[in-house]
Amino acid sequence: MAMKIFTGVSEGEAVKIASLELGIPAENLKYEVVDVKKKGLFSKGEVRIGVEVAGDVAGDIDETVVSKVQEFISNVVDKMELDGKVSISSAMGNKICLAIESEDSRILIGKKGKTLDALQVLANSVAQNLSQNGVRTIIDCENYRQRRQEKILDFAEQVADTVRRTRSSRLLEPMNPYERRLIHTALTRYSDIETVSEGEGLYKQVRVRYRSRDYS
Amino acid sequence: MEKDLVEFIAKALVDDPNGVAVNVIEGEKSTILELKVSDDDIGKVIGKHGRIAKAIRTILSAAATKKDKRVVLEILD
Repeated sequence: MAMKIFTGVSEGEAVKIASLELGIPAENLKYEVVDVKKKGLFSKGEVRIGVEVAGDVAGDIDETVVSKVQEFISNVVDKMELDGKVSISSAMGNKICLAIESEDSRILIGKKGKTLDALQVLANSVAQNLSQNGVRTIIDCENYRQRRQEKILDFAEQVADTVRRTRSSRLLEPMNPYERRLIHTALTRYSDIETVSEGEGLYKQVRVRYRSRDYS
Repeated sequence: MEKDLVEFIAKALVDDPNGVAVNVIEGEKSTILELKVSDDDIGKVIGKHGRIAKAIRTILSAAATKKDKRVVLEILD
């Protein structure tokens, strides 16, 4: 039985991230707390949970779809004339997670994960053609997704602190829906902070606002 | 080569792989690739708000970084 580790500022947060990532509702997750770092004067607390990724939830996705998507990405990397090995890191619920190992990971990830996102868009489109039931594909390289997620969660806390201190709102740089969602969910637990998306299209900007307690 | 890359991706996305054709116009510093697909498949290579077309272009430019070349993708209709 495999274990996957997720990190959050609280146990609830970590569970939320895990359920988002694995596509399994939070109440169905089997997990245990692995490590708790207490909140210090200068550091936020951190809770690590280990989630059992057991066989009983797997098998929802047709195996031929999984291997065809894997083959497709592996071929694309090959035709980009880059060396890379594509492996399936998990396939359960309605999510396929692929990991690329490569010497040229820098090129494959791209600026702010641009190339990785592009590969993912194509993989999703191919998966959609092969199967009707809304399969989602996540493509990762050198744990970029996890690193980026941690960075964004850290950043969200920082912004919340600034907004609270200055009482003025801040408009963040344009982000993709997944990253915006991370910011929104990370900051819902503060009653004095409010987040809204602004703009049009795929890459909207999140505005983080201070909400005075008097009005709530 | 870039042509194979585009052709492969397009064929994987469309319903009619036989309708896929890529024409290469080689320039001094940049290469223009003209992608043609069956009329019914145009939406599949462009996508909502050009998402897929954008993804293909991103992958093309990533593939070209090592060669220090510019590749332009045009989708013909």
